Amino acid sequence: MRDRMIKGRKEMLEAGRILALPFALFLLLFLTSGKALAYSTEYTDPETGYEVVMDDEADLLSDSEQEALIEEMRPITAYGSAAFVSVDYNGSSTASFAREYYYDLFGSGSGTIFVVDMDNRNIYIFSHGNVYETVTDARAETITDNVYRYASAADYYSCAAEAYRQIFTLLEGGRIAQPMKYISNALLALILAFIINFAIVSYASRLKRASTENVFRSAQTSFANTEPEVIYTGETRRYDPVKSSGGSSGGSSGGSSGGGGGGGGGHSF
Amino acid sequence: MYKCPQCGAEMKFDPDRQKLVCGFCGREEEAGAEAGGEKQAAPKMRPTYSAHVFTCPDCGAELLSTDETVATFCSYCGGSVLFASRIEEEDCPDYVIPFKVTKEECEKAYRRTLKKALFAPSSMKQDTQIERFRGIYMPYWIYSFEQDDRYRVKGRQSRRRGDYVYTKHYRLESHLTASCRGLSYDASATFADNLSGAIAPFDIHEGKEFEPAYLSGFYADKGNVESYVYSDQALQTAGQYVASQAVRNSVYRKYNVDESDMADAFRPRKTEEKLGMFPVWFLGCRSHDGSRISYAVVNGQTGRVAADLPIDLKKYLLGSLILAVPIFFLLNLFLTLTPTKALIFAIVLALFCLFVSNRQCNRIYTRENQLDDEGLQSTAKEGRRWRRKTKTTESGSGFGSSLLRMLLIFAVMTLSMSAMAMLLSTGLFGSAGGSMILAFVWFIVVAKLIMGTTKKKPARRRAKQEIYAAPMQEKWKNLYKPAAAIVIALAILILRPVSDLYYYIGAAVSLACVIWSFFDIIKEHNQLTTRKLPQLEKRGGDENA
Repeated sequence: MRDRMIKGRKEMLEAGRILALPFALFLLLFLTSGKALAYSTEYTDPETGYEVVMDDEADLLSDSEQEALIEEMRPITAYGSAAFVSVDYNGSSTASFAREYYYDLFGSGSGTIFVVDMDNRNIYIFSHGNVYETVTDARAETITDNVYRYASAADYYSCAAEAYRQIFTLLEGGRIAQPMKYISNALLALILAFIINFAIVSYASRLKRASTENVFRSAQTSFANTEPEVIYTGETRRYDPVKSSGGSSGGSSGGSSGGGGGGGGGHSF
Repeated sequence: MYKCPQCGAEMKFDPDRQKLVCGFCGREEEAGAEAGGEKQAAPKMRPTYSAHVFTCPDCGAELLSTDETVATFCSYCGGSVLFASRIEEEDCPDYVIPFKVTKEECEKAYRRTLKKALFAPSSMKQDTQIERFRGIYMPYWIYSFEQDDRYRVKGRQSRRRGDYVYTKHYRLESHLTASCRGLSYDASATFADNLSGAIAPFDIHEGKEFEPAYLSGFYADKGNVESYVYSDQALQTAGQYVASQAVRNSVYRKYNVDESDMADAFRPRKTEEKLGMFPVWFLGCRSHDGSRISYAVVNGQTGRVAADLPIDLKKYLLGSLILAVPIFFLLNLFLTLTPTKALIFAIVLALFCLFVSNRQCNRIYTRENQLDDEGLQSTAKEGRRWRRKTKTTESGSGFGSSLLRMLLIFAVMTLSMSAMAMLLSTGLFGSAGGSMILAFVWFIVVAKLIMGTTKKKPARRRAKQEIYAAPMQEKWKNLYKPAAAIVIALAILILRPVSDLYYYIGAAVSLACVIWSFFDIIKEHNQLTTRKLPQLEKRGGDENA
């Protein structure tokens, strides 16, 4: 009887274990995803295993445009995964949406994601891993600067295709147009040169007064005094309560890094 | 003129040999009493000597010399003629420090200074210009103070008991025997205080009794500043010396005696003011349009140089262009400016220009109205009038003015805070660091503005340099450019147009305003490093001469 009871408990435990696994998986998925992802993997590179992912929730691209875009994204899989995401409603900023979506999609793997946020009227490129080493924040911003006009004109295919083309160019070691970078840096360099030269001139032309020590050294001075006689004249009292807080701030701010190793840049349209 | 007893030729004082030397036969004579000076001692009166007075028809400056040779130019205004008008009996000063630095050494020292002045006009560096250095004995008031008496200062010791701080007060008395002799201040209104302060000090230990022979080959300024002008300043300096010595005593330290209290406690029983002639190599260089002049002076005893060094705009632009090239390549390595960041940079740079321009305008105002030169103020009634006018302008009058100022501060604060809030709400400064930097810069600017409007006294005390705040209507013509740059950039940042074009046009216009403002800053610098042509005791005539 006792043996049967023990056996029954073991069976229950085993059944519990079997049930617990999918429950835990579900819980893990629920906790980590935060939102339901309706994406489809369009291509997987047979050598690298990197994927091309398409999630046109806002329905910005026609089928043919999607196919053409996948073709533009495919070369990137030599370096990392590539994703195109459009969204109609977004409660957060485009940057945080892109970051979260990326980690949900590719985890900590190398890749890049191009987001068209119709809610915030913003486009954003977020990259991670090897791709991020090339497509840095500044370069992501440059690319979105270069392509945002297509988005403004509702030509989302051209916008995304051009962005992927420029990302691929960078990954291949090529150069992309950064006209404003050079113009603004030239102006900035000129002004910084003005400031540096002015600082040098101001320093060189200042009329420095002689120090007090030098003035006394060149004058005839003598000094002698007897040991001071100390005469007590009275006492005063001042109310100055001791602060109970101890005066130290003590608090420490723990800012979150938001999943380091990745980053990006965007532009409104 | 001193004639050689051997050949009858003219003898001049040689700084190298410290003797009179005959230019013809090379005979040397001591510059002492036997050197043929015409010093006439009169009982109870200051002795006098005969000197030729040279007058500048342009600025009215008067220079003395024992030589008859007519000088060919005026060192003070750069005028090309000096008239030898008369021979006068001049009061002998008490001391003279003979020239030790020769003209060649002076020119060498000045050239070294010019080497550091990369953008100084080429005309200043020409040999023909540098050769115009002239040795002038400048009159200096020499103040001496002595105290042989009780010296009383206050001391205190504090301790805490619960919520109260108990302070015991003491009077510390000692017998003080102190003297401070030879604090010198220039007695010529032509010789700007900031220049004379920059080549100070003169070593009074090498002072000699005055003999007219020392003037041979040199000139002397007549001097027109009364001795009382600098006496307070000299007493304060002497007090500082006494305090700096007294503070070494452990008893004073134990009773926490304040050093400034010690300086104020110095009450000398005996004071003395004497007139000395100190050697200064002097050079005046007129600006291109001839409306202003810059001076270079070299201490004839120590060789210390002080010079007004204006900027040649062409050289400055060329130098900046050359420097901009490596900076440009350096920036390209790590900086990619997005349109927003370009605007933020434009704001930061415009704020910098605003700050520098404001500071320079205040200094120009202080300089042009002679508020930083007690010697000039004492001789020019105009100067005194300006000072009074300035004080009333700055302090305002009564309740109405205070209310207006308070309203102004309130308006500035409200506007700046709402602009800050709008900027932060746009999310442009995503990082906490960016917001902090912006908030800090904004705070500094607003604080500066408020301090500028409420300033009653000079920002810096006499011990260093007085700078009075110029009225806004005077400096606005220079400040509106960086202000416009800030307004344009802020407007675009707040409106957030979609197209980058607006950002780049805005940034370009803002940065152009910054560059434009820099031209003003250079002009201001040139105004600060040149001076109005002197108009000494000149009645009538063209004031713009």
